[in-house]
Amino acid sequence: MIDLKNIERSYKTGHTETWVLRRVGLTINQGEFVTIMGPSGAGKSSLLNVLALLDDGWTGEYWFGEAAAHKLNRKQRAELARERIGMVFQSYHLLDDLTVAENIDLPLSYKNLPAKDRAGMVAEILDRFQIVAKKDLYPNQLSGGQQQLVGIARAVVHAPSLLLADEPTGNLHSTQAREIMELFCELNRQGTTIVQVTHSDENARYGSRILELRDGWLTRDEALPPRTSEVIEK
Amino acid sequence: MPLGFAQQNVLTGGVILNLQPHSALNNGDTSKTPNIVQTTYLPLIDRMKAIPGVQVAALSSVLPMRTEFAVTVTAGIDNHEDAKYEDEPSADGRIASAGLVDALGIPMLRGRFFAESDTASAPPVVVVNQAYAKKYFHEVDPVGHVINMGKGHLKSTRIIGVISDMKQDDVKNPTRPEIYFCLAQMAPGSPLYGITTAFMQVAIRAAVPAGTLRAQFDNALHEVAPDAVTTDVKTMHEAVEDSFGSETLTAHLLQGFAALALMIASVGLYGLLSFTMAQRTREIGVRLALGAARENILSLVLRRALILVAIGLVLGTAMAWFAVRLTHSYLYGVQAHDALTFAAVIAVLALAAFVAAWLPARRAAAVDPILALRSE
Repeated sequence: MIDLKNIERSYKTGHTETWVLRRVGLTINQGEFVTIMGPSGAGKSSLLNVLALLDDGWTGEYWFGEAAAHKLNRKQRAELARERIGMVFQSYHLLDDLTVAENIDLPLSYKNLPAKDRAGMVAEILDRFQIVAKKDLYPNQLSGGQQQLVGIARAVVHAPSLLLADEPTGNLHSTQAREIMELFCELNRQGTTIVQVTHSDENARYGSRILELRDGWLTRDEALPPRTSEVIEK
Repeated sequence: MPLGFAQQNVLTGGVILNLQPHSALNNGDTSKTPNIVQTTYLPLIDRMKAIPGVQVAALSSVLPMRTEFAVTVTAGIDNHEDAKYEDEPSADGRIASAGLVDALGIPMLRGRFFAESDTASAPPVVVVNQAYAKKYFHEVDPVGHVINMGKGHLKSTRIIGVISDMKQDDVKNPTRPEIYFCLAQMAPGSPLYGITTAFMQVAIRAAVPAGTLRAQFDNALHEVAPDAVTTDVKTMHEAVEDSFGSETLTAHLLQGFAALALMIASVGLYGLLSFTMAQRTREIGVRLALGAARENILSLVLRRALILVAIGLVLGTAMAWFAVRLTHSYLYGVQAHDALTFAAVIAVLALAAFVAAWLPARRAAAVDPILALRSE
């Protein structure tokens, strides 16, 4: 599904060039649940931004299915991301002046969909995430876990094939974190490919594969054994 | 703005003769009083005509937009001796030489203006303006009718022409009825001769820029009257500008304040939107990360600006609709509630607001979503 070849990214500050990704090459197959780990500054979020097609400054080859993202212009990349990628943020990034339903509707509003279809899709996701009762509430009326639940609902409302999550449980306590990770597992089981960035070994174990970055280099690429219920209870 | 006379290449100026007291005063015996019309004014006209570049030169007791004084003449028409004095037609009395209508480009509506042949020995003649004809003759042609002034030289003066109305001292006032008496026929003892001894004005039409003739006009006057002085010499264009005096200043001040208000409003809108967009950088980043195109962000910001501008324009237009009543005294040739002016002002304000909104909108659309999301 995703094929990266020799992806490099650097930032120039004056005469200094700082590399954050060095010759990264990897393949992510449809249905995988990949965890990217590594110390701060290793390039995890940079890699996630490349995958999300939010960043334009990288070099190398990026194949998203049959689409050669490295050959697309900014507008075409945005179009591809709009259709096939969902994003979950550590700080939820819900818009404060929109209700839960309006927040979830946001990605749909940028597609040429009839309002009736959009309303149906939002209603379905509210039901699926069991947050129908909260649809008219504003983000500041929700707990952190509930806000992240809305954030995930917003990310998957348009049924993306790839879900990217940057530290999705970073601001949650452990119980809420486990619920969110369970939700990811459920989405993954339903066919969504997931790539998450996390510092948490416990969260990493929910995935099927771990990538580790150090100083921009991909230093580890390891498949994990299937998760058992004891892992969760532990 | 139609004034009824031409402004191009016309030099005007006042003439004050330094007359000896005995000649200025009419002591009853006018036979010994020198006739300054014959001794000074008519030779002055000849001198001015001889100046290179001068096409026409004329004298008049009053010139438009240079109204130094007014004389009201009450005179009967066609020897209606039984008419009461208060019923007799009255008008602004003026003395003019031949060539005045040519010098000022005043259209003749009927008959003719004074000519060289209208000398002191010729039958006395007058010319009236359109307002006079309209007021006292209605549909009748005034030419050929007789105006009666007293019992002397001007007892019966024949109307020989009607000139078009022109603005006299204020563009906002309607033109008053006027009677023009022929300068060449003025003589000591004539009812209006005293005017000529007090003050006369010159109008010179030239083929060259009128402003360049000031020195020659001065020289011509001193050749015929060494003690005479010229006053307030200026082109007709300057005279018109001066007549607007305070109105022009007020109009310029209002223009300045309006431009300042427009600038402040634009800068305010720009500042407000820039501030709002800076506050909403994260939101813009989120929207971009969730699939918004740059055009979506652009229209989002412009839509907000449009709402602000629409509210401002509606309130402003409503207030202006009532406030323009205060500007009535400064308006000429346009209605206070002129739809075209209102539409033009709204268009200018909307355009300025659009420019003020466009810059922050473009900046917002160019936000890097990675930086915006990290900026938290």
